[in-house]
Amino acid sequence: MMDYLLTGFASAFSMAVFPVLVFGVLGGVILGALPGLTATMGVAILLPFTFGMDATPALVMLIGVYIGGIYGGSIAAILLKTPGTPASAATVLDGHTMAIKGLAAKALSIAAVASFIGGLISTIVLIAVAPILADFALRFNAPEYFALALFGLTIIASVSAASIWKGLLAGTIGLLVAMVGLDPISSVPRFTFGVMDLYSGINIIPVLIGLFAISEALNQLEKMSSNQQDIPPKFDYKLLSFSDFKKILPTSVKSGLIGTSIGSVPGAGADISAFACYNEAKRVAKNPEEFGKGSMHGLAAAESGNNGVTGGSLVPLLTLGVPGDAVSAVLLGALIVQGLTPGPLLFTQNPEIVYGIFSSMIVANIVMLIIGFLGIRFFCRIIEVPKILMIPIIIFLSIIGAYAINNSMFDVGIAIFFGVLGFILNKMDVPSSPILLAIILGPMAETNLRKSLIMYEGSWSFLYDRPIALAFILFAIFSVYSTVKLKKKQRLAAEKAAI
Amino acid sequence: MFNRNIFFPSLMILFSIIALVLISQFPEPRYQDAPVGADFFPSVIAVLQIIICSVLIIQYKRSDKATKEKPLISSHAIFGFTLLIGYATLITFVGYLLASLIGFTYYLMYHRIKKPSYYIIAWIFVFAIYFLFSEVFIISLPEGLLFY
Repeated sequence: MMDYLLTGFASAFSMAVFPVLVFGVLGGVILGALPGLTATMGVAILLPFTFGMDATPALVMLIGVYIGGIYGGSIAAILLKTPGTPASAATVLDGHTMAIKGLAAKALSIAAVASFIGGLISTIVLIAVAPILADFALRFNAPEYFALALFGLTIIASVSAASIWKGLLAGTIGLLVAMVGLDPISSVPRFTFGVMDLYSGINIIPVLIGLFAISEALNQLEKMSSNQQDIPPKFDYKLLSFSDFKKILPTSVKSGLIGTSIGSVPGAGADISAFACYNEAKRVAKNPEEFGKGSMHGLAAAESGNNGVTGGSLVPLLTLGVPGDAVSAVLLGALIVQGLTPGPLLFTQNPEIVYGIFSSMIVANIVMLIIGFLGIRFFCRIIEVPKILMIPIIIFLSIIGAYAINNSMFDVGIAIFFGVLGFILNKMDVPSSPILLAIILGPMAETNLRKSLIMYEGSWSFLYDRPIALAFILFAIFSVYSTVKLKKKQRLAAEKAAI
Repeated sequence: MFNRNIFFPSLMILFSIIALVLISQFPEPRYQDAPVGADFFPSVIAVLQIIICSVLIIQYKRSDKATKEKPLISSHAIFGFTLLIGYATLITFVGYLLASLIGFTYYLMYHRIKKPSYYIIAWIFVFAIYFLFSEVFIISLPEGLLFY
């Protein structure tokens, strides 16, 4: 294995591979930073360019776009409160707060380092235990997926800063939105009102753009025109210090491992992972009250968590030939185009390509870290752009991003609707993150609950007689309990301070 | 008097009731083998929403906070909504390039910006995005119905 890895490193630094790797990562960072353009879209866009390339550079470029794209989403999330991709939605919670406090450079450097750690751990795990992880992922059936989604939904309580009830309300709004379209089991149309565009459900990306980007632009527009205008932060270019690095390292390592595990489960992507890691970091933190107010640990957890998925999602693809998410589905297409058959035989028949990919993933993460650090000064200039110019830029980019997903003006309408909704909800102190979380997890929870009930002929015993499902349900209960306890503690402390 | 802490949850309760009515009108599937149907999950959520909103109303009634409320939507926010809808409409008819140039210029003029540099930056941004999308990433931008 070591021989193959060393050969892979030599290949990654060769003139045929390294330039395309850098191009892929850089392109991914730019695409990810633009609202609406996801890592999946980036990989899909570049796929046709790989048809004439050799297998290793072709796959390395696409994986570079994937890794760069997941990190790139954090740049807009931190600086503009506009997550470039759904995976960066959790990054907004602490990353943007740090930027407001004048710590944009530090936040960006934490995001780069945490993404690097998450990506690196994920790749190492992929190399070391891919077959074992694939076996674990294969044990997931409908009850386990339902329990995982349920556990994910309990994160709503954690990301609801002001009031758990308002967070739950946002969650139910998201769940109802997720119900729009054809029922996944019986294909009965639900809340479609005869509109054809609604039959396939509501796309998550325009919702994300609306809730975070457009609503924030409207919010800023209102502030700018009144006397509440945010004073541009007097930030310095102080990066992450070594002591900060030591502080975030355990959180990042843990989140990277959680992200890899979640990524290896087909159907669970970087967005779920980021929120799950954020929740876990908050649960075990010494100062959980700092989360949402610019916590380094919160930012590091979200970023390591989403980049941890990059290696994890390749586990079922490379070991079983099963694409775990949309990006790996595109990568599966790329492998087939190159005449390779993903699955156990790939490791024996084409080890040089498999280990070439692994080595290149490590190099891609290093390149991402370098680009991230080199770009910090440039990225930070975005904050200095006058608000009067930045607001329409966000609005126009959001509209184009929403359109570009499916070349559909209907998606633009969805983005605007959710933009206005997010703006109004913001005024009511109802958080937007739970809506997004519920839209991601709602269909997963519903489909798998109903599949489980069919499997168990109407019995709910799957909730306790399947160990993995039971473990997730216990985690969910524990998560809710610890969050409620924490909120109570915070409320009592606030009341005490008021007296 | 209009109180948003009462009005908003009440509105959500009304929406939930409408949702429950709509759920009761879901068509029956041709073949139903599942213990729970397409209406199960949405019904549970709608009922949960009613409960949550009721709790929010009760919580507010019990708290004796007499807060002075700011208007929910200001005139500047209404300008924002108009800009969004206007831009989306314009883009449908004249396409990205023209709509963005008109939209950005109108926005700057509305805010009485006199610095020519702002207008130049705005136009450069519009062309840069056009180049990036159509030439580099090969992503189609709205062309507009009038130019088909």
